[in-house]
Amino acid sequence: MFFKMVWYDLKNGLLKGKWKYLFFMGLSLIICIDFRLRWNLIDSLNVPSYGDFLMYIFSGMKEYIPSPMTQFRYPEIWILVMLLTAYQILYYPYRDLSGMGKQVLINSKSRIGWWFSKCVWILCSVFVFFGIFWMVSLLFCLVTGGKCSLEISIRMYQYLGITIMPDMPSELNIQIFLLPLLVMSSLGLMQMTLSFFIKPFYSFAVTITIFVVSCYYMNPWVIGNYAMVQRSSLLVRGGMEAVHGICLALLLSAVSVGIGLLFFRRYDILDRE
Amino acid sequence: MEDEMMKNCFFTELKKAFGNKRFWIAVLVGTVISLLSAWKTLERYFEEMRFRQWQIQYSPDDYMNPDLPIYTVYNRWIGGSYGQVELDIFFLLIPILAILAYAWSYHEEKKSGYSRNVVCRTGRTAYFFSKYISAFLAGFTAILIPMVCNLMLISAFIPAVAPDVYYDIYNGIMTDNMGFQMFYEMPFLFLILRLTLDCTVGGLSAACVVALTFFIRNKFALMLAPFLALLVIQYASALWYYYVSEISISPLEFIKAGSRSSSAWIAGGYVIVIFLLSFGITMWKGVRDDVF
Repeated sequence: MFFKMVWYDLKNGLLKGKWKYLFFMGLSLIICIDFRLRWNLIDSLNVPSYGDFLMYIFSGMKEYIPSPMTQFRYPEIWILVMLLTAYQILYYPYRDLSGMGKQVLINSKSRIGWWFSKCVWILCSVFVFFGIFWMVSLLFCLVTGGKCSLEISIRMYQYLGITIMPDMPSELNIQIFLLPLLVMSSLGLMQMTLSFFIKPFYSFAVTITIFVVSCYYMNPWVIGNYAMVQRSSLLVRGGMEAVHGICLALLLSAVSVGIGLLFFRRYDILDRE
Repeated sequence: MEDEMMKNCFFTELKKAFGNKRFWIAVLVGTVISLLSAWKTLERYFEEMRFRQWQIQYSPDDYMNPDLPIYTVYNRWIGGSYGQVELDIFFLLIPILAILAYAWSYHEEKKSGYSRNVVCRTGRTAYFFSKYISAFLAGFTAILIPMVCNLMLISAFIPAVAPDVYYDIYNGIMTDNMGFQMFYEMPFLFLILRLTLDCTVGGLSAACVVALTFFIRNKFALMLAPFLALLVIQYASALWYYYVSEISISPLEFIKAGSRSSSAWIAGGYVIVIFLLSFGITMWKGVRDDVF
């Protein structure tokens, strides 16, 4: 039954609506074209690698140190990617409960199953939306003659203003692939739980706040920091440890799922719009 | 008779717009954020003043310049300050708060069938005109109240010293920002214009939702559409900045201090185009489309 529910969610919440995928593909294509054009100024002698493309998308921003001379600028690409993904995974669980999902819930006779099915849907959705960025970047890199490697060029580090050190890692796979995925998934689960408490609109405002706070404070307790590659401890002193990020994301996910489950067991499903 | 109908409909809409719970939630959230911003600013100001007092008392020879223009209402209120997390959260949430105030109403009334009843009694023009204006005013006010609260608290403690161009790094207004000259020559007028612009962005975001209701059925997508559009424009602005011109085309950027180069023409252009589009669509579609 549980797998049927998961399949139902994937079918209704993920497979339907091709426009969102086209939009995400278009956006990632624009980002790739933008990066490729910038690369000509970064390093005209060498071609960028796949890792450079992903670094450009998920790098985020350096630590912001307020002073009269430094004005705060959002990492436009990073915040756009994160908030658009958060938006895509926000509404479906709530909408489902006021539509067909109610019938599924009643017929399955399992609130726990329904809840976990929605959690699985969130994880799959985040993977799919991030997967679009990974795949489009890979294809674009191959088509434009880029290096099919996850290695990040020294020039890329320089472009992002990262101080070059002798023990600079050439690959940052955990920071580029795993952490953004985990952070977004855990925030998605938190967002879903909050949606049932305070409605999706307010819960999205909370997500926006978390991302803005993450940009401002390089603090290990602010989860958004782990999704910014530029703030990794491998690149900056006092940066974010990947292990802490994984633990924090798992903790937030577990707490969100747990609280959501407790709450949802007594949730009045008839009182929906 | 028609005028009477329009008046009644308009006042009913205004009453609904300013008397609903969500409007006050938006005002409350905005006010809390803006007061937090003011609190942080004042905390820093008092710390600085305490240090100056200490300096005057124990090291009078080092105290030569009071640096009055560093702390002035004009560069410390929410629309003039920069580099503060509360402030950036507030400006990013402007479309969301403004929409929360009353922009959703037409969608709900359309869905529930209430709009049909009203249109039958008052006529289409009166209903859609009132709806558009009340959504705009509610969005405008939902941003105005928090900003005025911030301004009042800041001006209760920080003097309104005229900004000095020699202290430009503290002002967040550079020579290439819109209203640069006015900021130094007529700072109060600049403040009023900045306040009006910020609230207008809120009002127009809300008004856009009324116009978009004719095209988008999903309430949630509808309510977040202006915010997402502004976010996409923010990225487009970054591309524009890099490839075309240094002048910012992102409203999320030029509504606050400490932004990239900005132009009054671009800001004015946005206001006029968005107003004409949203008002035109609301009245045109509203009057032509069947409500049944």
